[in-house]
Amino acid sequence: MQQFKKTKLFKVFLITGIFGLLVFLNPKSFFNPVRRGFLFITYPLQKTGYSFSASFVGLRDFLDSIGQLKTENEKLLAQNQQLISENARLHDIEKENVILRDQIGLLPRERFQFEAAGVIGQDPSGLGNWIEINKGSNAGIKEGMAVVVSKGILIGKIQEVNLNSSQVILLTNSKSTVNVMTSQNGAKGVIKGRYGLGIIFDMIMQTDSVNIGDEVITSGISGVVPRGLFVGTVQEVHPSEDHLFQQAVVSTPAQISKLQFVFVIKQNL
Amino acid sequence: MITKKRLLYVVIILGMVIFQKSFVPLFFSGSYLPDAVLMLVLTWTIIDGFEEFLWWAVFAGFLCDLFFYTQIGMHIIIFVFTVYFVSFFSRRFLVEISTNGIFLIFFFIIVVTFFSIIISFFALSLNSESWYEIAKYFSNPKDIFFELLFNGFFSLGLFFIIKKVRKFLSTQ
Repeated sequence: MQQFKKTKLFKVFLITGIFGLLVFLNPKSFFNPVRRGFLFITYPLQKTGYSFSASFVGLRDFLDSIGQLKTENEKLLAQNQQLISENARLHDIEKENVILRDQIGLLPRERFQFEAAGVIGQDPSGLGNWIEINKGSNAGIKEGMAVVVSKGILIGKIQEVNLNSSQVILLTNSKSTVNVMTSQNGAKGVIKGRYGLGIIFDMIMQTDSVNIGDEVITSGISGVVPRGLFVGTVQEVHPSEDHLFQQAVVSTPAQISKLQFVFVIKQNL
Repeated sequence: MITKKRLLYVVIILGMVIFQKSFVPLFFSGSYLPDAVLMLVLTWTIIDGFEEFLWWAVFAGFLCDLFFYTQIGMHIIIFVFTVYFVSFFSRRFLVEISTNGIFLIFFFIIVVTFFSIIISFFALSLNSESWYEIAKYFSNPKDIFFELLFNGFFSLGLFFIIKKVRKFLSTQ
């Protein structure tokens, strides 16, 4: 026995046993102070590493896109013209909406206070579970706050807050759930992540109508994530495994893996 | 001398963990991300051996678990297995950058990459009900092939860097 205790295999078994138990018990909050300390010290290095990577990616994307610039430009011009006309129409509707709200005594729609943040790290497993941003408790960031890009496309929620950085759990994470609805028919449900395989719009009542191309927005039911944030468009609709609900595959316009800046919704104004 | 060596090891391991978290995901932007820290542990074990590198592997695993928000212990187990497995074979065969040596290094890379995938799968399954989706994610042959390929490149690059570090330390 004494001889065995000196062997490599014994050391391997011992370490694996102790840390295997830790994996199983998963005492999340126990190591948080240590994590915060390390993240605080290495914050400048992480920030530099990410911006260094972003410069490389920018150069690579530029070289890749040279051949496609002409066709992409034509496509964007057409899209731009379409958006200009739609924008003008929406401005008119907005004015009309303000007048009508005023007449029936409704409060104005929600407007948010944004906190701009840079991305300094990503989930290295490739699952696209989370990103890390360079704003933390010293910038007033709190757990559960919604994180958006382009000031309106929801990408996730704040999960863990450190002093000068925060972990954002993305919509593609299986632990992330957000109450949503379709803007066309108001069909309600929740969106869940599928381990880097996309986003699922789940728990849609069989009686509700959901079609391919419908826009999915947050419903604001839980109160944590504000109403009206764009999540994505419906790509596919099918019944759930137990046939009690409908499910839809949602595609988000945000390119999560190439994110460099995001906005945290701190509060409704 | 010992302090200098320890400091250098800490800096390299910490640097590689930050590189894996802040550089690799954006640069590769895909689901097949190379595991630079795993390759560092593998290569360093070939050069340093089991006894000398075991506790450094535990330290590297602990840092990975802290920085990557995974359960504390997951990367430690992967790295400790890597150290044992690699040292078991490298003690019996001469591992160098030669024809046979490169084959053996690629064999190590394949085994430890698959082991890392299996442990990650089990660790994720512990906290999830949708294990089928996790399995589906981890079983994409194209992703695994690219991960192995990039790991191979990383490992060969690190082999030369660590050799230089050893040479630098021995001249001090």
